[in-house]
Amino acid sequence: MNKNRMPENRTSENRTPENRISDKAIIGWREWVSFPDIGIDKIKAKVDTGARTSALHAFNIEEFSFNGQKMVRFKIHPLQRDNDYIVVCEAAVIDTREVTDSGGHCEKRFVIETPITIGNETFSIEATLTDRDTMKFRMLLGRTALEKRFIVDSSKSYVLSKNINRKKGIEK
Amino acid sequence: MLLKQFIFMLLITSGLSAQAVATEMITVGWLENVHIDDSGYRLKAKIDTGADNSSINAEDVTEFTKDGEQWVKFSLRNAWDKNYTITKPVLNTTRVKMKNGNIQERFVIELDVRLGKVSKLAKVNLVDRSHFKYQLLIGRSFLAPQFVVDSSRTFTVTDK
Repeated sequence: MNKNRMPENRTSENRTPENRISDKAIIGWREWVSFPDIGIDKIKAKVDTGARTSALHAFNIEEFSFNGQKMVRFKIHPLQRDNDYIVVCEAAVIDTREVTDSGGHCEKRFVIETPITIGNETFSIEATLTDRDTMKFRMLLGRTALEKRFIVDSSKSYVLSKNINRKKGIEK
Repeated sequence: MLLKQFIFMLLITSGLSAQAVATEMITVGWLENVHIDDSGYRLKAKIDTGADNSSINAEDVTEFTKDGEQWVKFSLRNAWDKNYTITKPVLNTTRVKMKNGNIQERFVIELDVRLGKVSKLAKVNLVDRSHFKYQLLIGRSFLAPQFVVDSSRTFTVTDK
């Protein structure tokens, strides 16, 4: 039997990403995502169509300069219940922006641009850094990051998270 | 061989569209104009997958008792500057933890909300949203199971 031939029992379901509407993938309201360039293997994101920009819950945020480029160094607790696990990240600052949160409070925040991996896709997103520790999720994925690729099914969670959960363990 | 692959691809595509039809999901934008009750009164709503529940900007809220039941009367003002008064029994009160850590107690009522062709009862809590752009926030409990949200679009099932 020719190995290159498609096995007969392969259905469309296990051959293509399931649950696609038009050319966009279905994403749940919670997903595990990763940021390969800043060393975050796994962080739980709330997929939030109510927010324009994405946000990362960071602390000890400090500005510095590298080769004339404005940079920012910050720490993240990627896991909600594990405050001993800290990732120190560095990223270029592309903007500072006034952001109004859902409580109506205005805050000046650094904006970074970095690749994010969701399911099988890796693409660049903008995220603001905030140190509000009342944020339940350490990551919010807003409309701008979602708009080209995803449609949100808010009755589901972790639709695109299977790969991250299985393959990437947490290295402490 | 090529032909077989081509047929296989065709099968996948047709299978996919069949699946999309079978689930009958309605794609809405992140902003939609919804109708309240059967009144024809419209409200601009933000469709917010980040919120558990729905909330509405209620003005002049007054509480009263009718036949031993707790009722509430309040008024709405929409983007077209029209007012609408609602009188409903209070379903329960809910405690909402705010971003600043404060806890707010809010009345919850049931409201008939029509989004596109679908009309259903929404549990909404009453809040002062006067400092926000949108008077109604539609959360996940309303959206499940038939709506999905395309955050690149607005007014996909309703008129602007």
